[in-house]
Amino acid sequence: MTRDDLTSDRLRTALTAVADRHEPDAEAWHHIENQVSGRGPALVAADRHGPAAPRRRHRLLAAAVIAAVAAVATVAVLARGDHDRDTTDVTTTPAVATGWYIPVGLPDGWTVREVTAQRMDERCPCSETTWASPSRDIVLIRSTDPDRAGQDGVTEVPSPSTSTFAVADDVEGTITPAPDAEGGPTGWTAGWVVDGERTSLTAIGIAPSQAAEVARAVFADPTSVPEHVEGVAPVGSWSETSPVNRDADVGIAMASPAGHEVDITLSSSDRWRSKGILVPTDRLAGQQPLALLTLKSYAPTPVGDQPRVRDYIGLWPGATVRVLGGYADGPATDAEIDAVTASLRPATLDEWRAFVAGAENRDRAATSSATLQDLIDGRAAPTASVAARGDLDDLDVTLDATPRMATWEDAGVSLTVRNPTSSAITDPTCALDRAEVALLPADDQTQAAVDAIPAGDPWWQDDGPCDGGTTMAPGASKTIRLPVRAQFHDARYGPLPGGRYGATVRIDGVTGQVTTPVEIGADPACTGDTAGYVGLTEVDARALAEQRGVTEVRTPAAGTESDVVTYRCDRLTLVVDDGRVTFARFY
Amino acid sequence: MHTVADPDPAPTGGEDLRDLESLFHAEYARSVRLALLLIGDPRRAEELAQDAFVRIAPKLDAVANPPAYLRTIVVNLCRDHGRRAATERRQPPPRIEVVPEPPLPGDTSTIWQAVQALPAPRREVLVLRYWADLPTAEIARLLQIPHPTVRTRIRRGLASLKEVLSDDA
Repeated sequence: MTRDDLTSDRLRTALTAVADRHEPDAEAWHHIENQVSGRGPALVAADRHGPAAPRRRHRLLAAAVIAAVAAVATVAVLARGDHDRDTTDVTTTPAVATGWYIPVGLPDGWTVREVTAQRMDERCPCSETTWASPSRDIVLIRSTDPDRAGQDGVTEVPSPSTSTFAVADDVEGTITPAPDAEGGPTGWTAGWVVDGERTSLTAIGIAPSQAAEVARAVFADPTSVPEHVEGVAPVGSWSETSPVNRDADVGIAMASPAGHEVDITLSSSDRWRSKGILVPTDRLAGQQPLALLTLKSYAPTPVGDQPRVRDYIGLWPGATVRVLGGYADGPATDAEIDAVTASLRPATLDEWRAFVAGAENRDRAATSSATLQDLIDGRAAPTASVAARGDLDDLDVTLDATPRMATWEDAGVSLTVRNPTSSAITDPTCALDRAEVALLPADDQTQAAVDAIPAGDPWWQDDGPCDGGTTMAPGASKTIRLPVRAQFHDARYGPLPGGRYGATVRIDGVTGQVTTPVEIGADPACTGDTAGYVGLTEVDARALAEQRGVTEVRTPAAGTESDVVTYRCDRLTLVVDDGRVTFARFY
Repeated sequence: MHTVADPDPAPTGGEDLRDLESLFHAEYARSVRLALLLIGDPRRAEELAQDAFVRIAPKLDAVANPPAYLRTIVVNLCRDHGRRAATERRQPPPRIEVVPEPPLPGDTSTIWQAVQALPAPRREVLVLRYWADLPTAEIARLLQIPHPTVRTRIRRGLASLKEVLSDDA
């Protein structure tokens, strides 16, 4: 039994013991019956996330527009912090838009709880077309992308209120209404799959009773929407014809002095594709110099039992910026959301990195790229990613990686596995998801540079839980992102030296390994004097550092995140094993 | 999921208490225990679980999978607990008597304290994964977060607990 299994088994046992020792209230049914029989107004369903729309970008839009409370779906509920950090004063304006925006000048008491960064690559070809009324009370969005059926063993669980209907003679679709929101707009989503392409319709301000009729009309002829929905006209369209639309999502969780969360999201400039449904707001005129937009449904009035959450959207240089209030420890107030939004200013890379360094939790990927667009692109060439094919036993395996990356950066490695056989293939131990990946030196010069650093095992592995494994049907395929960065696996040893590497994958239980060439850009390494530290005790090493004028000495434990986000070259990281320094580097 | 020629998704009222009572007997204990694990407060867990049943009552006729829908409501209420407006109650809050719970054995108590000390996002996914036994895809749908985020939070949550459990071992 692995250490992880031991942990999860004990956790499971403990949770069961805690739960089972609680005896439910004997009068519970009596209380419920009384409340239900009290004949009060129908309560709003607690499913606040709006119609079931599996893809994150649809949830962003559909949930947000149909039910204001569903904006919580877009909020990253983030780690709690227990100490204050000051926000950074920014006095410079970058000459080139970096896409980084940070709060400037917030009052004391605001803290940065977490900065996260994750890729949001979506499979394409995909498209989005929007129609809306002049007042934006009626909106219809038609989007298309490849159907995910047959992939990954993941099945979408339909919303309890989803129903099916005949879109055409041989095409079945689904319709899911928005939850009832007292005083809120009505809406629904519909969808169907034809020839591997999934079409989704999101509607606001159109009665659910019209859903089938409108959906059938759109199916027959998308351009006929204005004939079937009175008062709307096309207001925007977007499409991506390549197989992958690269995107990333950088999230900043701010905590107010009262402990309420306000979240800032930075994403690609075209993330908010249905721009036509946004309306300008001058609420923060004189406070926020950049133009702000909002969704019309975000009026600051309650919806049922939950308050509407104010939001702002900025289609700003280098990024789409969204500010949204959260509900942790109570809903963020309008004043708090306004304060954060008004404070946002563009930041240089150094300013961004310094800001992120002050966060209580942070993804290093958030600071490994010079601009947000670099993060999104993975600094890859615009053509198709480098790939290597390998037949591993019965599976077809394709390995993709970012051809060129910066130090510390996510290598963008993904494994696409296809079952070309006529039989199902099972993977009960999640060997595919737990594939090991490493960036191995591909030439002597790079090997020598890596060998000079005693950093140990180069292999990375996602050792998350295995949900009973995966079954791949004949012809099915799945794509797995593998976690490897251009750094030593033990982050204490810093980034991988610049050079040529092979992104290499090995899978437990299958023969051979697959590799594809990648290149890591040279690291702007510090040239500080590290001589003399190795072999010293920590105490002696610290004394030596002080003599030499080193401003800060860190001795992080193995497996901890590195704080390195900015190179100042007057700070020292020491790796201490068995009481002796084994490695030193400046940052 | 039901099939109709033209769907009429408007709720029908659904206040047949026999159906609700049936659901109550099947799911109440599990609902309140889920709430307890998510928020740690037995009395509040009872309130939220009861609230969930009140909320599902008018929708029961239109819901194809009441236990799953109920679980969604419970999870959402737990995420929002502490901020409910007084106006949402149509009657004075019920007086809930909570039976004192027996003490936990040392090992379990240590683990439970560690779980309660986790940030809410990590606690949520661990409870849903290791007590409710939901697959990560279902957790992702329930919490409306990406699948990889579920896995990351599980991994980080376990890593946080591992230290406590290692010391404890």
